[in-house]
This record gives sequence, C-alpha cells and structure tokens, in this order.
Amino acid sequence: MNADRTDRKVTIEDLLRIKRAERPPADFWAKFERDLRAKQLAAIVAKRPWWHAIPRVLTSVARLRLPLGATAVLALTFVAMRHQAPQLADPVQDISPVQPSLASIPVHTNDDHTVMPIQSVEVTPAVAQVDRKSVV
Amino acid sequence: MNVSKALGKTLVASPERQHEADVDWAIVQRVQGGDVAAFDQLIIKYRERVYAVVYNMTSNREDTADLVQDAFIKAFQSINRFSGQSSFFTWLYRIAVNSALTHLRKNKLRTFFSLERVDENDRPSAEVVAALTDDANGADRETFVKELQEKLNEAMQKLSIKHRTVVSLFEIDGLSHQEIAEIMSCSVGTVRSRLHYAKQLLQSELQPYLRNER
Repeated sequence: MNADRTDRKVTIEDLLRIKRAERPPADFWAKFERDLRAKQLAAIVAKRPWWHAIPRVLTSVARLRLPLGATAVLALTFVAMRHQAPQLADPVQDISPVQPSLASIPVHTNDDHTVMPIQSVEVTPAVAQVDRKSVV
Repeated sequence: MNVSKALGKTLVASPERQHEADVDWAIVQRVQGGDVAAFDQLIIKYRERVYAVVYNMTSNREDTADLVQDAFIKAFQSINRFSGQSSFFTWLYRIAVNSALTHLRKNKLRTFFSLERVDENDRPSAEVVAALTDDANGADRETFVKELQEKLNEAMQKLSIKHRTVVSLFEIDGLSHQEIAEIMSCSVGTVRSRLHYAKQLLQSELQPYLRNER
C-alpha cells in the first residue's frame, strides 16, 4: 500500500487541486453575511456621483431610439420643406428686387391721383414726319 | 433574451451549465421585477466559488472578503442592466475578477498572505497529500500541508496578475477556456497561452513537490 502511494505521480495540476480544497473557517460566512448586509445598507444611503445616473438615462433613451429617430427625421423633413416652399409658391416675389429700382424713379400724380411715372421720350424729326404722312 | 440561445452562441455549454444559467435568469428576472430578497439566493449560491477565485488571486482572506462583498453589491446595483446576453455567473465573475484586478494593481506591494484550511473531506487533495507525505504522522502531515500551501501561494504570487487569474479560473474553479475568455474579455487562444506559460512557471517553482511515476 505504501509502495502504491510513493509510486503515485504528482503533477502541478494535483498540487493546484489542494488549493481547490482550501476553505475559510466555519464562522467566516456568518461574519461575511453581516458585513455584506452592512455594506448593502450603506450603499443605499450613500450619495452617488451625478455621472452614475448617465448609464440609466442612456438606457431609457435607447429604448425610445426608434420613435425619437422617426420624429427627428420628420422634423427635419418639415423644416426643409418649409424653407423651400416660400420660394416656389409666389413668383411675384422673384421680381421684388426690381421694385426698389422702380421706386427710385421720381413720379408725379395727375388730378385723379393716378401715379404716373415720368418718362422722358426723345422724338426724332424723321419719325415725326412719317407719322404726319401716315395720318394724311 | 433566451439565455440558452445566448449560451449556445458563446459557450460550448454543457446541459448542466445551461440549466444553471436558466435557473439564474429566472431569479434575476424576479429581482428585476422587485423581489429584491431573491438576490440572496444568488449570493448563497455563488459566494464560495467567487471567494475561491478571488482568494487565489489575492492570497489574503480579509481583502478577498471585502472584494467579494463589493462584487455582490455592484452586481445588485447593476442588476437592472443585466439583459441575459451572458450567463449570470459569467457576468458576476467578470465583476469580481475586475474588482480584484483593480485592487491588485493598486496594492502591488502588499505581502501579507493568509492560509486557508484544506478541507480534509476533499478526496482528490487528500490523495495528493497522502502521496507526498508517505509515512508521515498526523502532526508532520499537517506541518507539511501548511508548508506546501505557503509554497503554492508564493509561486502563485510570482505569476503576473493575468496569469494568476487564468490559473485560478481554470485549475481551481474548473471553468472552460471559453468561459474564462468571456470573463476576461480575451480570446480562447490567449487563455490557452497564458495557462501554458503559468503552468511552466509553477512547475519550475514547485519542482521539489512534483513526482514522476516510478
């Protein structure tokens, strides 16, 4: 029997097996539980840094990613359409830049207050003769 | 998420592991639903295993107790963020191992080690001790075992933190390479190479205690 024992191979795995069999003393776990309870209670009342809430906020936001994303896409589309729409709907506005130049022309009004632009027309004699002949 | 499917993707899970993961997931869901007292079941189930892993990383009983308690508190505080994509024990181990790694990096110069008692009812270890002590009587055997434990602790402490962690998880807790890779967030290949290197180092440190078959 002793010969069997001394012939037994002992490997590094066997030695580490001894570590697997290591146990704390019997009263250790009672103290462990008491200390754990005390730490749990302390953790409840302990003030957590403000950034501890970030993962929780991100998790709740992540749950709404689909509706939030859809809302963002709709909002962007709406804003883009509003930006383009005024330019297409009212063509008069295209010539509004002309108005300031018309407004700069001095005007006078006749008796019925019709605004008439003053125009300076130069009539050449040749044109005036043709007109008389055509009339006659 | 179906825990069994998650395990099927990531682990080569045995049926026992899958069953264990499903049971844990049911308890976690109860806790998330407001039955916070159910978390105690998970504490009682895993405290000794988590303790053993962390103890073999630190070799210090008081530090280990603090770290394991902190790991359970962190797990409880984060329980609503656990979605079942990994098994609960993988998630818990990851918290405990990361806490221990952070602690060890901050306390590199700590040299006080404690020795735990070897369970005499553990048959495999009793056979190893018997093989090593031959005809030694009880008192001599006890002295020899204490000396061997000290040598084992010293040899483990000579490993880097990551190598020690891999040895603790594989040799002492009996996890698979895949499970260790998940816990340590590395590849299976990295786990294998770290384990190989660690065993070579331990073999050279513990040569006087090794025996080849005669």
